[in-house]
Amino acid sequence: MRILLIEDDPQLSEALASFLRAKGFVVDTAGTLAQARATLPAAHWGAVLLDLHLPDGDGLSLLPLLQRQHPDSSVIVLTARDQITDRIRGLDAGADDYLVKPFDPEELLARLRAVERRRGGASGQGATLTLGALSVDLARDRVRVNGQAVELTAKEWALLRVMASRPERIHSRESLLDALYGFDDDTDSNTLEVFISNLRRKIGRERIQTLRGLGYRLAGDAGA
Amino acid sequence: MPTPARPPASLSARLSRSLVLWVCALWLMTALGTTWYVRTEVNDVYDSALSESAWRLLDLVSHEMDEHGASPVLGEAPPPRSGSFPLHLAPHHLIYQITSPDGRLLLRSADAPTEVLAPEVRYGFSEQGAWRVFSLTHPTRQARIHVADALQHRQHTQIDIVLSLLLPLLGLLPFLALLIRHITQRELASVGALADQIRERSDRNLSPLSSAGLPAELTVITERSNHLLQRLSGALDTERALAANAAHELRTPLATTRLRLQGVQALLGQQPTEVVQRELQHAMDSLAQLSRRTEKLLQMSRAESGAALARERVPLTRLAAAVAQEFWADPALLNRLQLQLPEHGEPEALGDFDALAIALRNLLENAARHAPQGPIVLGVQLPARLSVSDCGPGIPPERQADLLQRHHQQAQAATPPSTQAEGPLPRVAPQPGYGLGLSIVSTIIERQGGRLSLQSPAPGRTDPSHPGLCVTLDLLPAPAAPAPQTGQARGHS
Repeated sequence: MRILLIEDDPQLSEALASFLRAKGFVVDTAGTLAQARATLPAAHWGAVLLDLHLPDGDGLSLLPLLQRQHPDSSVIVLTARDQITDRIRGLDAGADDYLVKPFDPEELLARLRAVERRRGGASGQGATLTLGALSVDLARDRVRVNGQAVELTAKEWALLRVMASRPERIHSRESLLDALYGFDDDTDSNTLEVFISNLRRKIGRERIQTLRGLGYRLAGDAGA
Repeated sequence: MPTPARPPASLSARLSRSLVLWVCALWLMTALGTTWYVRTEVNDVYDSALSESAWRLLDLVSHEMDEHGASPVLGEAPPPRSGSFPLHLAPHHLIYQITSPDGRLLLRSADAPTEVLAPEVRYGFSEQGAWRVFSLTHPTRQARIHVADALQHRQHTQIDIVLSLLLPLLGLLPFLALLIRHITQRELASVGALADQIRERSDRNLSPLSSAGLPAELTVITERSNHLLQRLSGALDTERALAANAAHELRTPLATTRLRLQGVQALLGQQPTEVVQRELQHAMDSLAQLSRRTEKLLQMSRAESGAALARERVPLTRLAAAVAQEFWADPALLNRLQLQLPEHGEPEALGDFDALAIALRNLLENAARHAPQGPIVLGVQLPARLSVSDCGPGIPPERQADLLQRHHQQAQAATPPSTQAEGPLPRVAPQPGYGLGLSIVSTIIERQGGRLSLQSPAPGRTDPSHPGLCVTLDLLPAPAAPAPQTGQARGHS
């Protein structure tokens, strides 16, 4: 996967690029927003690692251009801003993930591999989510509960894939409905609840938690 | 339960009340002065009438005696007669008596008493019982004249005059109060507008106050306040910039060093050198510790900064969800951390979103560190309560107060360092506690007007070896009035 690293600190930029290259990624770097704007059209980026504290402006200001030019790229914000409102602002602006410096290199690696999984660039064991007795193989579209395979319809699978690909997130009703629109243009307001109910019946009622006013999330055995 | 303090009265109400009270007081003083003056004047007028009538009567008596050639005072006094003198010119309320010098009553008006009014007085005014009397002695004819009026009559006259002054004013008093209230409200409307302008702005709004339409005094206050707001805004911007720069300057080299060490370790992994590996691991452990301590110190500086004093509406379910999602990114906590929201209602607290997030983060880190097994429950309850409970070893009651002290080193070090492999997030890696975490929480909650309490065993826990700990944050509930959601409160998925 090709990565664009936008970081103004040359030492960190070099160290991070070396680390990622050693892990098999192709990495290009940019030290300013201007350099990043110039570099963006040069390749198809699988992921963009974006510092916010750049010498010529806020890194978030790059997101609209990035989303226009590379709608499939994942953006991981790497920043020293650790306030929860900074994180919410970053995610609301369109970033896919948010890591606070000094981050654990292994954690960054895990996030990048998750990006690869979501992009369908990886398969096998790394693409399997295990939550208690629930096992979701995103690469092979297989679901098991207590080792027993569960058959899902395409729509149920679409919902489960959205939740399983980002199990750490609370998924709003709107984002889950978006996942269904591609399958059924006649989706009405109760459709989501019907599919959630069907999914719960098949994988276990307690494995999809409803968070009133916020949305739904996958929960393990302890999350009921 | 103490009764809530009554809100202070508005400036216009206080001014109206004072003006009405002062007008009434001045009016009463004026009425008292007028009463005194009326009384003096009424007495003078009545005394003058008495005197004038007495002298006129004296002339009439002289004239009658001259005409009849007889003197009632020469020893053959006729029996007392009544009303024979033509005193029609005298006021009707007057009475008179004509006596001999030795006190025998010779003549009297019809409504005069039969007793001599002032037998001892030869000349001048005197008060005799219910009468005011003017006495006069004829210089040649041995006759004495007493002319009198009733004191009660004078009092009635005085009361009539005073009432005629007071009653119209009494009737006007309510209208006067309303008029004063209306005028003060109209004239002080600009003060109310300024108060509304200040009341309706949030703590973060440091934009200048509008001075349009304000009187000179308030314009000065507004201008000086705007100057202070501008300075405060500048100071806060500087503080934020310094904090951001400090975070950037501290964290960036830390991240670089970690990456370098990781790279060296990977290289050594290819050519194992046991001692170097161990030393390198120690260096990385120390660096991880330094990273955590840097983070805690930054959090503590934020907890003690002005940000922790903010009083904005914080939707607690959004706050808890945002923080929980940070921790769910750690696979070790994805299945352990549970978020429990209330079935009904939307708990909202007054405080600062970021500062409360720091508090929650510390509680969850502590729970993850000290309770490496079992569920961790992040709860949100009405009206404005957050709680974090775990299934760890708990805290004995005698140690709970110690825990809240900054720099207190928890002796708990039972968690083996090897469990760091549980998750990639350094902030939840099991390590001995620094004691800073809970004191950061305590500082934030104290500055936000809330209350921090510890409960061990945690509610519902019966296992004596792992009683668990429940930390509860009772925050200031936001007023029930609906308010627009802040940008911070927007959810994401």
